[in-house]
Amino acid sequence: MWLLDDHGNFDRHEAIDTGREIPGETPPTALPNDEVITVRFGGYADGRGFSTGNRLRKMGFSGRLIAAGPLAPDQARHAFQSGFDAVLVEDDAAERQGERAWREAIKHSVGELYVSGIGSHGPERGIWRARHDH
Amino acid sequence: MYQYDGYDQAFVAARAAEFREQVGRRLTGQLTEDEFKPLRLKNGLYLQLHAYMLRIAIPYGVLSSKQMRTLAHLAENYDRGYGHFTTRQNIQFNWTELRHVPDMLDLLAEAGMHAIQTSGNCIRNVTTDAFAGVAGDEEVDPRATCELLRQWSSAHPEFAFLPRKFKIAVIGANADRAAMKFHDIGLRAYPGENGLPRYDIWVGGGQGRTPRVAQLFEADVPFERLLPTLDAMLRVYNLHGRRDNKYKARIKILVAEMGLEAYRAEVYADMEGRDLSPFAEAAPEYERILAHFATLPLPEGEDVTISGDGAFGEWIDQNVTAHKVPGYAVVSVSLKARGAIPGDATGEEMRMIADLAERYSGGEIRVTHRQNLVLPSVRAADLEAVFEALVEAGLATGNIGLSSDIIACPGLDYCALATARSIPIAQALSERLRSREIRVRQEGRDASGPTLNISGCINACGHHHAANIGILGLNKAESESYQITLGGRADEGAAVGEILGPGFTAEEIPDVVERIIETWDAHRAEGESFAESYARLGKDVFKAAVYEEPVNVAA
Repeated sequence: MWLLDDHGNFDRHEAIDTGREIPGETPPTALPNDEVITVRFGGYADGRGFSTGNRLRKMGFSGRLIAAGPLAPDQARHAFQSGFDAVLVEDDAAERQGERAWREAIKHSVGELYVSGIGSHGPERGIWRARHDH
Repeated sequence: MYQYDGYDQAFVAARAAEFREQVGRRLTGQLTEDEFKPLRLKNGLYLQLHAYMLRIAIPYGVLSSKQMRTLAHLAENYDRGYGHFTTRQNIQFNWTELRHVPDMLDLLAEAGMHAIQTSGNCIRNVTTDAFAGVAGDEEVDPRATCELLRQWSSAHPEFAFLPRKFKIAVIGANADRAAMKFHDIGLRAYPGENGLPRYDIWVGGGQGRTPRVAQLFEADVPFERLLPTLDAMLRVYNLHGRRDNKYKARIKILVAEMGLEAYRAEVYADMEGRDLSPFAEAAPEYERILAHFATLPLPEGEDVTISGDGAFGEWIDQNVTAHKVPGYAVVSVSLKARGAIPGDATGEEMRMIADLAERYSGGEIRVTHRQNLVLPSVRAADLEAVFEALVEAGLATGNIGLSSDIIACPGLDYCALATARSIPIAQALSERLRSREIRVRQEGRDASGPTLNISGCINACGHHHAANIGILGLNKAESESYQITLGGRADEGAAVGEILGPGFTAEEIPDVVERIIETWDAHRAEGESFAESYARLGKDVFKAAVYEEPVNVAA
């Protein structure tokens, strides 16, 4: 298994602490006390996991948040900007999509956004903030 | 109009570079077609029947002459010499090649344009009134809100893989010239405190196979709560909208199945206790954007009444509208010449409009949701010169708002989803209706008539549900059949049309439509619009006229 973190490190690990796994489609209704939570996305085009990540951060979850599931490198920034710390990538996906594509996922993504959300681990500062926060 | 600063410029350039890299990985097979599809769709690239189609955003329908020339260049160098303006203030090029698309996006980025989120299950191009900023009845210029929403929604990390597409429209006048209530979210802006608007937020409108007029989510929302409310509305939709059936995945179905009250409660629960600091700069940003639109660089002119005879008179009556600054006029340029394909323009026509706008309208052009163009600020004294130039270019058809001003989707001639042709039906109707309009006007009678929209399948891109006369092309027993709906409206009295009865062949449609219009003419009270007559008369009188006598079609 491979892990891409929000600093751009992409490494293969024999074992990864994925903590408690929850499905992307069901955000918890109470604040979990786990140190690590893995949100499993139901499908590549299923964006519910991003909102689940957002909800967890909104309710004050400060532990490690991992996104897992059939994601593509192009979705890494979406995960980080929705509050995730890392994206878990299966061996076969890393091989097919290319290690380099994952390693350079953030470099090739739109680096700046107009609005940077609460708890974002993305590369953006926020254009509105840059324009007005003097 | 809004001008990109360095941040905007860098943003669209970065998005174009990102897409170039994605295309590269698709071509080497690192991305499967399944993985690439949502990525290309988010950048307006569809695989159609014959080629890739690139849909480019014209945010809130505003174009500069320079941008129009870029579109002309794309039409001439990457398409077959023309483009197609759509009902959501986009332009489509139907004959592009995948390998050329990154170059097209670079050219667009240089002109301050993009194809970001013109398709895919994300927040689409935000649309508005094509007369924004110049209409006499306007209370708030909706363009600043549209630009704010364009920025907020562009590359939004959380709302990029929604259950289905998401369309937003904004208006700032009582008259609805943007079909606002047929959008997933519709906003009506009113003047508020300190120059910041207040909004009525409408939700759950849409067309497709389950047409719905939007319901009022909340009235009189202060500016500060607009983005936090939209953010929560989208999140609840993202989490709870159906994903098991794409035909039941729009927010209109979620709101109908949950009930408006329950949906509202979920939205407010999501908003509760949220840190709103990401939106802290929304107000200064709105003011910054507004400054781009605030001043019309127009010296007040003499308030003159222009009238004329013949074709010029008709053009003045139909295509020229009052401007909020005395001495100026709003000129609509019809892309619905007799027998033409609705919304199509050649590169040459685009250049010609760009030149006219530069000379007579402050270098600005608008694109309307009825697939026409607008020169928003023409001096009344220049109207005749503009008309003459349009005559020369074959763009002087004086039929804006008449029945021959038809909306039509590309249909089976281009679209992979279509079940029937739209374009030839529109062309045949245009011939028939335009000759009727000319004849009626020559007789000194009122040539106005029902609005007429055509869709080539149930997805309703041609807005047939929202037309006084809607035509829906279906495939029945392996042949095309056209179903008629009556009484739909896209304006402030938004309504979904009712099915008249069994469908017709393509050849029968012009006679059927003419018969409906003649029936209306015969029963019409003085000055009554088709929609008003239909509301008073009901369906039966039309049904009798259409179905009791068989339609004669020449073999």
